[in-house]
Amino acid sequence: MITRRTLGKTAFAGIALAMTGTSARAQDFPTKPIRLIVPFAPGGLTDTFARAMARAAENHLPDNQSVVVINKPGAGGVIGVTEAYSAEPDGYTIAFVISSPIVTQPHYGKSVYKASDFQPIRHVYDIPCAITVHTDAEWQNVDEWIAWMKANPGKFTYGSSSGPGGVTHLLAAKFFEAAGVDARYVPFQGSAPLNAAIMGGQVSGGSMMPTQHSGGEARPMVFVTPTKPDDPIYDDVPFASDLGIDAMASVFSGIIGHKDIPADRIAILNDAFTAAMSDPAVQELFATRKLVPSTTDNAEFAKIIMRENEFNGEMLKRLGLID
Amino acid sequence: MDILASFELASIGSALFAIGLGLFVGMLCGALPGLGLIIAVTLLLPLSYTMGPVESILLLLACYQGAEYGGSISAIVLGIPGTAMAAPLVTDGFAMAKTESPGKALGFSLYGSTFGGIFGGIVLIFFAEPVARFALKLADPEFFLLGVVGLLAVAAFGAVDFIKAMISVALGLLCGMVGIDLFSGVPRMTMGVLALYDGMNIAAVAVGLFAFSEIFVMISAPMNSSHTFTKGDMRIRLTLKEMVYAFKAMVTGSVVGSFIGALPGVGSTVSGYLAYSGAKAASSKPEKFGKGSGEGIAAPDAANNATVGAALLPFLALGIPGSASIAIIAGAFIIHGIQPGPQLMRNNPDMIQAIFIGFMATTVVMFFMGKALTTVFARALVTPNAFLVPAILISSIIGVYSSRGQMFDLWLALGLGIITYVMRRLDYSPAGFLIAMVLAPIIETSFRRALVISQGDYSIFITRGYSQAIAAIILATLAYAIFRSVRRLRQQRAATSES
Amino acid sequence: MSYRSVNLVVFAGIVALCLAIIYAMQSMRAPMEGDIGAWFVPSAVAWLIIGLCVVGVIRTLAVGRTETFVIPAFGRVLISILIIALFLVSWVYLGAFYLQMFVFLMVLSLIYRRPVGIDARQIIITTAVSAAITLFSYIVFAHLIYVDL
Repeated sequence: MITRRTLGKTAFAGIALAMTGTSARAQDFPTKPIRLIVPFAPGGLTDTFARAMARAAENHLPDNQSVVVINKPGAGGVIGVTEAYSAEPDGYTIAFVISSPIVTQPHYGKSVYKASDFQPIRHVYDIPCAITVHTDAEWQNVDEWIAWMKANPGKFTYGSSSGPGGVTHLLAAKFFEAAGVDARYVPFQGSAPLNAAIMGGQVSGGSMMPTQHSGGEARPMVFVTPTKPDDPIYDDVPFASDLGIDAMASVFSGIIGHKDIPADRIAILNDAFTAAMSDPAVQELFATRKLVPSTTDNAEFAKIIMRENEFNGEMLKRLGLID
Repeated sequence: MDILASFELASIGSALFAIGLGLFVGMLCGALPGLGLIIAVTLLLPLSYTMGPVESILLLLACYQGAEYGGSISAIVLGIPGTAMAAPLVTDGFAMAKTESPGKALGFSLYGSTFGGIFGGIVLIFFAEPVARFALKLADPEFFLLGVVGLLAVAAFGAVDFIKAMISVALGLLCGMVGIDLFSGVPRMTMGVLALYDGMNIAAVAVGLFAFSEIFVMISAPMNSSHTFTKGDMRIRLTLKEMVYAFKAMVTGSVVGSFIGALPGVGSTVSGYLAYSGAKAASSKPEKFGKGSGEGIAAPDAANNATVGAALLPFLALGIPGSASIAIIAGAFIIHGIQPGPQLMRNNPDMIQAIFIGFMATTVVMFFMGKALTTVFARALVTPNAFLVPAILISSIIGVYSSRGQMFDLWLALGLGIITYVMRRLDYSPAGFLIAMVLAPIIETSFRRALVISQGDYSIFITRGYSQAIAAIILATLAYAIFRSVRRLRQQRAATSES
Repeated sequence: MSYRSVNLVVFAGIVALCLAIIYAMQSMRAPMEGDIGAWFVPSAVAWLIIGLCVVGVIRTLAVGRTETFVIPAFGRVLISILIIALFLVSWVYLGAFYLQMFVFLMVLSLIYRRPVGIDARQIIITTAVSAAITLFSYIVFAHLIYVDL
C-alpha cells in the first residue's frame, strides 16, 4: 500500500540530500517536528498519555524540536500502525501503540506488517487486565467463583474490552481454559458498552482494565496480567499465577518505530521519552490513572513484544479464530 | 445554598471566557461543511490542558453545544448541513430561508436550540442518576426494537416515491453494515479496503450526501446572481405568536433528544430525525412539513441540543461515555485526573455543581452569541456561488480528510456526492439513507447479541418487560399513523366530492 | 435519455450491487452459538432491495415519466468533478497542499465567473479571494492546530 505522499516525500528527500551533499547524521536529528502517530481517536487513555509524553519530550530533544500527535484511528489500530510502517524509516514518524495492533492483528493477515517489522523506542506502561464481575455479584472470592462456574458450566457469560480475538479476550479465554471451566463469550466493542452491560446485568463479567479504584461498579475477581493498578483496593485480588494458573501475558503500551530507523536516532528518541516519563505532568498522569511507569529497557521491551506475539498467535489458533 | 459562595469573581470570569471561546469555535466549525465537532475539539484540546479542570470541561462542552447549533446555520443558509446532526432540518430550513425569510428560519433554529439546551440541562441536573440507571436496564432486545422505531421515523419525510424511499433506507442499512463484523471478526463488503474496516466514515458520508450533491446542484444553476434580502429579513427574531406556535415542537424535540441522548451509542443524528417525525405527528399543520415549517426546524434543533445535556448524564453519573463526542470530551476529564462516576457525584459535588451551572450558562450565552453572530454567517447567502462553491469544497475536503486522515474517505465522499446528485433527481431519499446507515449497526448488533446471550432463543425479544413496553409503543405508533392517513384520505375524498 | 431509461439503469445497477453482496456473503458462515451469522442480515436486506427494484421496474415501465433527463449546465458539473478529482490525485503525488489549494480555488472561481466576463479586475478579485481563503486555512490548520494535510 502506498500511503499518501510517501512517493513525494522520497523525491523531496532525494533532492534535499543532493543539495546539502551530506548524509544525515545523528547530530542533525531532529531538524523538523517528529510525528507521533496514535492509532486511536482523541480522548482515550492511549491518546492522553501520548499527548502528555509528546509535550514533555519536547524539552528533552535537541533544539527543543516539537513532537506532534497525529490521530490515525481505524481497523483496530492497524491503519495508524501501517502509516508508521510505510513512512520513511528516518525516525521522524513513530507510533504510540498498545499491544493489539502489533501482536494480535497481524496474525489475521489483515496488516501489511508483522510484529518483527518494528523496533522498540520506549516502553511506557503495561495495562492491567482483570476479569471483573458486578459489585453485587454473589461470589465473594475467586475460589467460590470458580467452584460456581464448575457447577454451572456455560452459565458465566463475559465480554472483553477489546472485542473478539483482542488481547483481553485471549487472556480471559486462556484463564478459563487453564482453570478448567466453561464460560461463554459474548462480543462487545470497547470498555464503555461492556461496563454498561455488566452494570445492567446483561453479562456476568468482563475482561478489562478494572475501574473500581475510581468508583467503577465492577469488581475484579482475578488479574490475568502480571501488573495491577497501583491502588490498595486491589490488594486482596489474586493474580492468576497465585492460583497456580499459568495464564499471564502483559498488555504493553509504548512507543515503537520502523525496524530500519538508525540506532543512533533511536537512542536520541529513547533518551527524550525516557526523560519525559519523569516529567511532573506525566508522573501526575501515572498517579491519577493508577498505572505503574515502566522501567523496562529496549532490549527487554523487544523480548516482551516477541513473547506476546507468540502467545497471541498460539491462542488465536487454539480458539479457532485463525487457521 | 452555598453554590454561589463557592464561586469567586475571577473564576466566573475565566469560566465565561472558556464558554465564549468554546461556543465560537464550535459554531464556526459546525457551520463550515465538513469540519465538525472533532476538529473543533482538537483545536481546543491543547488549550484546555492549560486551564483549570472546570474551565477546560466547560470549554469543550460549550464547543459541543456550539457545533450542534452551528451545523444548523449552514443547513438553513446554504441548504448544506454543516454536520450530520443538522441533516434533519435541511429541507424545512432551506425552504423557509428561500421562500420566507432567512432570519425567521434561523430564529426557529436558535430558539429551538436554546430551549433544547436548557431542557437537556435540567434533565441532567435533576434526573442524572435515575435516568442513567434506567438507561442501563435497557438491553439488546430493547435497543433492537428502538432501532426499528428509528427507521419508522423515515416515514415522516413524505416520500414522493414510496418504493424508492424504501430502497434508500435498505441501501443505508447495507452501507451501515460495511466493516469488520463484531461477531466473527471477518470484514464484510469492504472490498479489501482497510479504511472501510471500521465502517464508512460518517463525516465522509454526510459530506457526500449533502454537501457535494448540493454543490453540484449549485453548479447546475446560474452562479453569479445572489439572493437579495431586506435588512429585516436577516434579523433573527420570532414574534410571540411564532414562539407559541413552535412551543409544542420544541417540547417534543427536547423530550426525544433527552431520551435518545441518555442511551449509549445512539447520538444526535437519530434524535434529530425522530424529533422531526414526532413533531410532524403532533403538529396541527403537518402539511407544511417539508415546505418550510418552523416546527420542522425547531424540533430537530431542540433535540440536537437536548442530546448534549442528556449524553453527559450516563458519563457523569456512571462514568460511561455514551457517544463518540462524549468520549472525546472525556479526554479533558482524564487529563485533569477526574474520573466521572457515582464517586465524583458524592465526593466532589462542588465540581459537579460548577459544571451544571456552567452548562446552563452555556445555553444562555449561546442564545446571545447566536443572535449576534448568525447574521454574519447568513451573509454567505448574498455571496455569489462562484466564490462560495470553491470555498465550501475546500472546507469539505479538509474536514473529511482531517476527521480520520484517510484519502479513501475523500473519494468515498466524492463518489457518493455524484451518485446522490443523480439519485435525488430520481426521488430517492438521502435522509432515509443516512438514518438507516446510522441505525444499521445498532439494529444488527443488538439483534445478534441478544440471540447469542439467549443461545438462540427468540423469546428474549418478547419476554422482557421493557421490550413489551417498547413493542406496544411501536404498535400504537403504527396504528395511529394508519388511522391518521385513512382519516386524511377520507377528508380529501369528501373535499373533492363536494367541489 | 428519458427519465424512464435512467430509472431502469439505476435499478439495474442497484440489483447488480445486491447480487454481488449476496454472492460475497456466501463464504461467511461459522457463527458462534446462537448467532445467526454475519451473512444473514446483509443478504436479507439485499434480497429485499432486489424485490423492491422489481416492483420499481414494473411501475416505471407502466407509468414512468418519458421526458428527457437533463442535467443543467452538464459541462460545468463535469469539469468541476474532474478538477476535484485532479486536485485529490495531485495532492497524493505532490503533497504541496496549500499551494495546490490556492490554484484549485483560482481555477474553479475563474471557470464559474466566466459568464460575467473575465477581465483584469475579475482576475484580481479572484486572486484576492483565493489567497485570503488559503491564508486563513494555512494559519488555522498548520499553526493553530496541526492537521496533517
